[in-house]
Amino acid sequence: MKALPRLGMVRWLVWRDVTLTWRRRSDAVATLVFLVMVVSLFPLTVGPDSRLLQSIAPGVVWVAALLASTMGLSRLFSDDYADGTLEQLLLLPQPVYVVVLAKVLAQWIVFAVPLAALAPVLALQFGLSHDTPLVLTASLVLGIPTILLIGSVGAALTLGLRGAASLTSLLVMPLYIPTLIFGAGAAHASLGGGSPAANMRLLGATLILALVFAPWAASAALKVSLE
Amino acid sequence: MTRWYRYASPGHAYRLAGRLIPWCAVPAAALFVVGLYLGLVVAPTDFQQGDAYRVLFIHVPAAWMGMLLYVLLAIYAGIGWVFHTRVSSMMASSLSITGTMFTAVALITGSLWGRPTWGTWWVWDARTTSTLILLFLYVGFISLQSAIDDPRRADRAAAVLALVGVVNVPIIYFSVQWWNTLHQGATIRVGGETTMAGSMLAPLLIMIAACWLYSVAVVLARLQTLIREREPLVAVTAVVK
Amino acid sequence: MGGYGVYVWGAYALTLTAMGGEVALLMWRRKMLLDTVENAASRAGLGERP
Repeated sequence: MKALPRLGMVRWLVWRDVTLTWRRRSDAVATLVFLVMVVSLFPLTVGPDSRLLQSIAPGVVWVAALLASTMGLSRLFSDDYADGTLEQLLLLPQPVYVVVLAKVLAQWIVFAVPLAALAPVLALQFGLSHDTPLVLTASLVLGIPTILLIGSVGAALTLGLRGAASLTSLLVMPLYIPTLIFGAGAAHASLGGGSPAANMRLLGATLILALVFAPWAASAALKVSLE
Repeated sequence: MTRWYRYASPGHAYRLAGRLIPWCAVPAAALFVVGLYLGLVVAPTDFQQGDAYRVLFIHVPAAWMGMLLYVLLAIYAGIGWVFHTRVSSMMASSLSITGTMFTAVALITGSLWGRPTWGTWWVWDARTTSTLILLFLYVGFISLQSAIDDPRRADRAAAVLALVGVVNVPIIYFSVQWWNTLHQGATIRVGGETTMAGSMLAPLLIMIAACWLYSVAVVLARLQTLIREREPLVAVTAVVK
Repeated sequence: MGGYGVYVWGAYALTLTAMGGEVALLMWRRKMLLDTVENAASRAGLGERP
């Protein structure tokens, strides 16, 4: 059979992953519910003082988004690995990084888009006003793909291991730190009345770097894990 | 140049390590004694920080070694992955433990230095935060290796992780420094010693050399142990011949 | 000399313990393996530990 043109293959892979996730949508929904719950727990523990809540809001929302993303990432390859599909995908004529990119894109559609819809609501919960909810959402839209891309490397490395989920988080947390700093920093800047432009540009830069290098690193990791 | 390739074989590496260890361990011990003497007895009291500054003589070498060993670890792991040389991967595994130890020591001695001089146990400035992140990178490397049963896959997966980590270190350092300068108001700036008196510089350099030689000796000894573990008959014939 | 305070002495004590502990652990591991390898060698009919 003639190899499908690359874009068609990406579209097909994305469609496949999204459909599979839709059929087991309780997993994805649980991840989002987890996110909302974690964010909601913080006001209960730090008190209702609105100034305090406003100042911790960017950090809390970002960390919760990070944790929720990592929850979803451990499932990125493991389901396909378990039933042997992953090896078949690696045998496609397309390079492996295409597979990785497609899966991350599917994860983004399933997770990041609902997150972007939820973020303004969470921001309101913490009493953020003016531009800040928008900036927070924008930072999440720009930053979560980077998180997913870097996390895909961790997911590929821990394929098939016991305790893969927690191990993945442990491995990639240090690598998330720049994105976390820039993302929360953008919202903080807006909160303080300044411009989030610098942080957003840095977020964009890390996204570009991640787009270029992470799929390649993840495909190398997949080959290591599947030998 | 190709003569060096034979050290990719566990047997040769084992013997070379055995020859090098005494040449590193003994001078390391001697330099330690000299360095500690110069640092604790001879060096004068600092007019700003009093005697608490003397922690510097182990804090700085430990921090240096922590960073240096991580870079070496990544290089060896990368060589092992690309060239399929088992000895290189074993070197990376050896380096990881000593590196973790030094990084942890650097963090704790840093706290012990900070308490009497800045008044707090911990400060979130660029260097301390980056050293903490370095510790996490080390722990991640060790965890991944120990989580995978197959030694080949473990070595290669850890190599990928180490390379991704080492490439990210400058980015992480930059972002932490960025974060720190934006929040400068809340932090205490670390007093930099701009020029150091000779009587303080000498023990520092000696201690750095001592830690270096100590690291070489311990890492090579652990390499020998790893070779024994993984390739026992090679190790036996290596010592017998 | 002695009046350097608990922080300085604590730092040095910690470092020497950490380094000494690392070496001790390594020596213990080597000794254990040496005995194992020696047994394996004698069973295989090879030479002894030098």
